[in-house]
Amino acid sequence: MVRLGDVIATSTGTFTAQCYELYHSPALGDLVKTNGHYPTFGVVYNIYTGGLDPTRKPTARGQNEEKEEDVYNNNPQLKHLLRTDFEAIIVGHKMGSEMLYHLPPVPPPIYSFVHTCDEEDTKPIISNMSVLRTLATSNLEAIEEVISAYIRNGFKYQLDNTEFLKTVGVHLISNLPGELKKVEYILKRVTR
Amino acid sequence: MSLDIHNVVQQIEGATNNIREQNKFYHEQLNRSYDTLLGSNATEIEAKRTSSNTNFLIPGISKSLSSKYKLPDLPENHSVLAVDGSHIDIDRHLPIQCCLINIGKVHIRYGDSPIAALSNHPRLFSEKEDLQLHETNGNRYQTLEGPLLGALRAVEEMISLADLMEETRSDTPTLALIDGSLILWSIVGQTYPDFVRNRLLDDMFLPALARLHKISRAVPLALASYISLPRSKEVANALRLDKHNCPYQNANCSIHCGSLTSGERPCDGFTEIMDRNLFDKLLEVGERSESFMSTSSIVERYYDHHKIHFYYLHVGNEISRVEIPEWVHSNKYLLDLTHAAIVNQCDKGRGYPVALMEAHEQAVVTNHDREEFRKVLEEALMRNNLPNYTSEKNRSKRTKWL
Amino acid sequence: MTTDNPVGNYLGLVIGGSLNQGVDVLLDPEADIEGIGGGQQVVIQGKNMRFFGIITDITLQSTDQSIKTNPPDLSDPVMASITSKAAMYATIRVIMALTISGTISDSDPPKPARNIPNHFSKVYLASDEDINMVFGSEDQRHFWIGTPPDLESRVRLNLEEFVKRSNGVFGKSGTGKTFLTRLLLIGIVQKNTAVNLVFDMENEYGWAGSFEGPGSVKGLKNLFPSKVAVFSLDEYYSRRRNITPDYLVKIGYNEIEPEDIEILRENLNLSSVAADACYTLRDVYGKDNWIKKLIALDREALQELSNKNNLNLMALSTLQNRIRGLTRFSFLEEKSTGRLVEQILDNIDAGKHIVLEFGGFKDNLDAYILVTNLLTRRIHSMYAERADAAMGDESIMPKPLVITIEEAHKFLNQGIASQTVFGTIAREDRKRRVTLLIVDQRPSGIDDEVMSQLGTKLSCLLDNEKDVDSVMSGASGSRELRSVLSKLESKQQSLIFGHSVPMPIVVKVRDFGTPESYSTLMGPDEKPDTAETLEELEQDRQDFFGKE
Repeated sequence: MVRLGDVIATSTGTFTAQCYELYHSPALGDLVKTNGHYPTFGVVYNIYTGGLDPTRKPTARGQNEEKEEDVYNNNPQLKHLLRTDFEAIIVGHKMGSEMLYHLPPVPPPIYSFVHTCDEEDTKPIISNMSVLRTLATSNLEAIEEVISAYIRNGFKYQLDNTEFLKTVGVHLISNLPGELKKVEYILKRVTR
Repeated sequence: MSLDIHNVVQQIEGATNNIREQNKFYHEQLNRSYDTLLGSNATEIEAKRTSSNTNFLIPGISKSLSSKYKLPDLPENHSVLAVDGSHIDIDRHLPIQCCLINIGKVHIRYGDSPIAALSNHPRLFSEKEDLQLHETNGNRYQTLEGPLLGALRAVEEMISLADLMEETRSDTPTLALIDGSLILWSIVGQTYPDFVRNRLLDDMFLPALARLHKISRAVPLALASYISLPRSKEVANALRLDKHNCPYQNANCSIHCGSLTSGERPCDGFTEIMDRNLFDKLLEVGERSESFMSTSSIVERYYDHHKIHFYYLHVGNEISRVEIPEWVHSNKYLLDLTHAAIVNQCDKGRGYPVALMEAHEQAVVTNHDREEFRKVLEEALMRNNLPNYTSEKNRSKRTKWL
Repeated sequence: MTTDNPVGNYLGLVIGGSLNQGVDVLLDPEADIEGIGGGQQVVIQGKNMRFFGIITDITLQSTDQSIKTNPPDLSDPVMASITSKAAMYATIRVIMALTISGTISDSDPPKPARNIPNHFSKVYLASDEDINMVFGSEDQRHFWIGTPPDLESRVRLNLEEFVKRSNGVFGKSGTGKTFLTRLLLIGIVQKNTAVNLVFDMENEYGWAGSFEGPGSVKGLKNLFPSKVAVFSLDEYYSRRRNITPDYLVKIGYNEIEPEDIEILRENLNLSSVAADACYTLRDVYGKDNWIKKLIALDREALQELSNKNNLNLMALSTLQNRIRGLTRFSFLEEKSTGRLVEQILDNIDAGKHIVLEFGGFKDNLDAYILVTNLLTRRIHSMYAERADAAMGDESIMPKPLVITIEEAHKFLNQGIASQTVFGTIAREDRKRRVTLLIVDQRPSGIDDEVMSQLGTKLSCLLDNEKDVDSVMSGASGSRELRSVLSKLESKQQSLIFGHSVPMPIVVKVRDFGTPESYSTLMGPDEKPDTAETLEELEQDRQDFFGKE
């Protein structure tokens, strides 16, 4: 487990974490978890990088630089003025040693540490199809991409990816009634 | 009642008309003063300065008035340190008397292993002792508010800069930069007792300068202060001494012209001209002017071997004024380092040294911050069951009602 | 009440519907949709009772309307699999027929369904056990008529109930109508619930002479020689078949009444004026002589008759012409012995079933209509007299009489049904003890009122919409059942609904034509006709049902 950052905003269904290092965020669709009284599990659905101070917007700096990294090398302060945040949708939490696939009684506190999830955490979550419902019905932006990435992450724990995709697909269809095309796009993006 | 913008617009119209008329007058003055700058004999003027008694400030001129220097090379591996401060003055409407100085510190290293460290260090003054500047060996004190707090802040900035330099242990060529003047102008005009100046300068400011000076003997450290849009007229004043302007061998304004009103004197031909106007005509982008030495009384009286020199610098979209202590001025390498590094900083900062900008951003206390500060203060008082009252005026400012 | 239904019979869950239009069943994804057919019996296990129903429709559905216009990429095996599993589904519509409360071993008799099962009740294809429970077991009343498609169980008709009302057998030509009718007649003989009087136009029910070759199966006389009397209109024809009919039918001119001509009006192409003239003639010449006189009249006499009685000469001439044609039938004679009706009634009283063969007149509708009408009218009136006389005393009530007529629309079409004896019988209450078994391929030609009075209808495939409508008229759930009717297999299948079955059901008509089948059909005291070889019997079977 790698520590990624701290929770900086939190609500019933989602939390936002700030990375310790610029651009060192988990990937879209990754499972992350927080510490705390109710270790909370989330799927990363949004990552953004911007100015730390909302009133100071980044401006183009590369015109006289040869390489992109020179912008950062010649302006070392940028890494301190920009920050990468990621948002995760809560898909479950732990009560003692029991994994529960619904929202925790309270969301993780601000400044909870956010970690990557190891295999022991990930396997049961990936195989629990109610997580797909949480994701599919969430109305979050670009959630289809998030689901695709989430499913793709699950591949490494499957013996038979095709069977896994079928199981996942059936659940997606039942959770997205009338949106077969959406399901098709999600599944296509998993493999292509 | 809100601002009567209609009324203001009419006044603005009038003001811009004046500006247009003044503009013509200004260009005549500028051309004349610029010609003087190029044509004057620097040695003559310097000689006349030392023998004259003027009631305007004239800098010490070493060689020339109109020499200019190309942009020197900047060592690829170098560091820039910058410090800036801001403060919250004592607010009589607040339930307790306190003030706050926030110092922003920036260290940026360029070159092979670029790094940056940005931090800020707020310090609250709330104890009675803290809020007063005491005579070292006496009973007198001065309350820290208004310009005195500003002066203390400038002193604190210099101390922080010295601290920062010591902390970073930089061994690459380093520019230590501060915003504004190296001269504590804010305590010049005020009628503070002497002990105030002694405390601020002798006990605090100058020792910090000395620390930096000491380090500069071991590593290539250049101290400079940066003034954007300088309003100073010292070089222009020097031109007043030119023989075409001042007919007297040894000028003594009070004696020769004391009976004349401003504008009637023979040297009053350049009144509208600031130094930056002259050097804007003289300098190409990246070039610096000749250095001049400040002859301000406070420097002469207190600064000792840290005598302050200054030069003007074309940083691209403006002429700025750079002030440096004697020990930088006398070291060609360090002088060039200030020149090259500041121009580079301004490039990166789009016209203003980026390290100073970040230091400012670290230090800045916004209105929102001030409000937060007030709330935290009130909450702390309440938690400790201390009386939490505020002036009715302050209350009325905060809660608008009908 | 619960029963263990075989897992393989599980169809799905009730998800909606109504009592009137039937309930919708979400088909289980594992169920084999292609193996499910309209008309199949299903059992629905409700909370407190079991329901019997019939599949009336099967629908393919999808959760996503865009599938039709923008189908997913089915070349992708994953998409194909999940689409069929999760986005596609099928529903079947089941019309409720019966409810049974109590346990399967100790249940109340099935009652017509006035309820529908709960949401998510489980639905199964009916098992043999279910069918047996509903359609009763073999006894003195219940006659095995066939089996539901895909099942082994026997569907039985309550023949006691059957003969209380007029009934109908329908189906377009070649669908096994005659075969089914014969089975019913055999059933009535075997169960002895009534006496048959069969007007056997095509000579199909009495005998099946071996010499006649293909196309014949054993008739009633073959199977029940002692219980059946064959009357023949055509001695020569019978002799040619090496059969001795029990009676030869002779009808005197004096027995023909104007009503008998009236019913033939359409067939004889007579105007109504001409038909009406019969009544005048009868009045003029008397009941016994009017035909004899009419056919003997010459032109002048005809003219005179016309003038005297104000009859249209043209009409009169045509009438004379047509009646002369009829009198050429060999079974007609100038003066009858007057014994025919008595002979028939005597046989009936003796418990014998009567088949009246038309012999060489088999394709002659005029003869069929004339004789059938004439005899039926007389027999009915005498039977009715007796029934009325019994005043409801069961011990002296005559035995129920079932009169089988073919081409029934000739007797019961809209124009004449109200005037003929057949219309009277069809509409009459059952106290008169005479009912019809009407056999027809064009039920739409039969008067609607008569159709709706029929107690039990057995219909083979009909593909004319009007005929389907006509058969379904008056049946509950007719809108749903009609789809079943028009989807029957073209041979051997029949939809049975009405009083003698507890619920509408599609049956594969019982096998018939093998020695085994004969032995089960015959009465216990009858001996099979040993002259037939197995090969011949097999041939019979194939001829009847078509080669498999």
